[in-house]
Amino acid sequence: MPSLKNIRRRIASVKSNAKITRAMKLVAAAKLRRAQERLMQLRPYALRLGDMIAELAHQSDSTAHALLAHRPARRTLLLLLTSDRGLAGAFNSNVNKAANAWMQEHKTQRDHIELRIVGKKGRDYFRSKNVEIGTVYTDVLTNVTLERSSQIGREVVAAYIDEKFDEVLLVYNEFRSAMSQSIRLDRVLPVQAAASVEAEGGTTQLTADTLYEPSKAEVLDALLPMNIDIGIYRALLESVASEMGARMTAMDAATKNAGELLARITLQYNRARQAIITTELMEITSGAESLKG
Amino acid sequence: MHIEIVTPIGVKYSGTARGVIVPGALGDMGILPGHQPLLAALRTGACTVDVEGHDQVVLLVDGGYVHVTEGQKVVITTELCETAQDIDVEAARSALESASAVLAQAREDVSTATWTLKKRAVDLATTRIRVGSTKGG
Repeated sequence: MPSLKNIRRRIASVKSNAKITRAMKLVAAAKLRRAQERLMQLRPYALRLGDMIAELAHQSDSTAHALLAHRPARRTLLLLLTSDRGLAGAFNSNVNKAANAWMQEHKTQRDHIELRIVGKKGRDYFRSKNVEIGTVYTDVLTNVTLERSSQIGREVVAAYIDEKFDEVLLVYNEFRSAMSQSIRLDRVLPVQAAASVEAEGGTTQLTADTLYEPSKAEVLDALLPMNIDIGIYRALLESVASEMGARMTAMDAATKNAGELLARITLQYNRARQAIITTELMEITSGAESLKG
Repeated sequence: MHIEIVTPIGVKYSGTARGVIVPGALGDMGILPGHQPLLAALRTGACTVDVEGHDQVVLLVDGGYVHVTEGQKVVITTELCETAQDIDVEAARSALESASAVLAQAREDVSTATWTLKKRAVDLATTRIRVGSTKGG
């Protein structure tokens, strides 16, 4: 049985741990609210833009713009969104594993798969697996902005137009609720045909002869890259909201566990203390007994 | 017809109207019910919504696109939209002054990037003053 001093030390350590996890939970909850708000604000915009793209793509053939061009998928760019910090449950490991599984499954069918990663956790995972990593963005997550997302978007679009890649995929955690996230693997490029966009909740009735101003080519030229920027921005917001949700849940569970543990070792402490008192009492009474005789 | 103005930070305007005048990239366009399907680029300018049973509502839109479907639904997507109440006319006036000062003396010593930036500032401030002064009207 551990000594009283040891148990006391343990109780203090569990208590201070619980304090930290409780604080982390509260911080994650506050950040989650902010991230969720921004996500909800962005959704209608992303949806309307999707409607426009659906109509455009429907009325254009794949030769109308470089970003609509379907090429046989030989070189793939995989953009993976993770977080900079851990202690968020299975948030990072789920998305890392999904990316890794996709790469293992498709590496025989592709000449080259380049990995670009947002967040330190994805970098660490693939570095430990000795997988070659293209670019790592570690400055994005502290403050997710449309400007920064557009920079990433522009790099991706430029690489696709230069035919460095034949397809661009985005792997990230989609925000469902504070308790649940789901892994998404979205095809960013080439731009999808109308049907799939509509399946995601678009509302357009596709019409035959739309008027374009200044011209269809110019509208395509501006809207297609813009939609990719918004798509990346949205995925980043989804990922941040998911991260905060996952951390909140994980820290809540940790705080609960600490409470249970504390109850158990407090009981152990009291038992040990009582045992010592009993022993002492026995010693005193037996000592007194022997003096009588 | 239904008018909706959406930005990355939320739906800025949504409601039914008799018509709308939008600042198209090639010039202002009036859109009435039954309009042909349209997808057009916008410039920085004022967007006038002719609200049913009310006066006109004037809003600032900073570029973006207007999308007309089935002649009954107008969706404007823009990165920035401000109502008259959002706008500080005095601040816009001083912004206009400083930006036009740079433009006025601009010769070869101002780079194209700066010129574009200042031109945009002038457009934005001019529109802000125009939209802002419709306040309470």
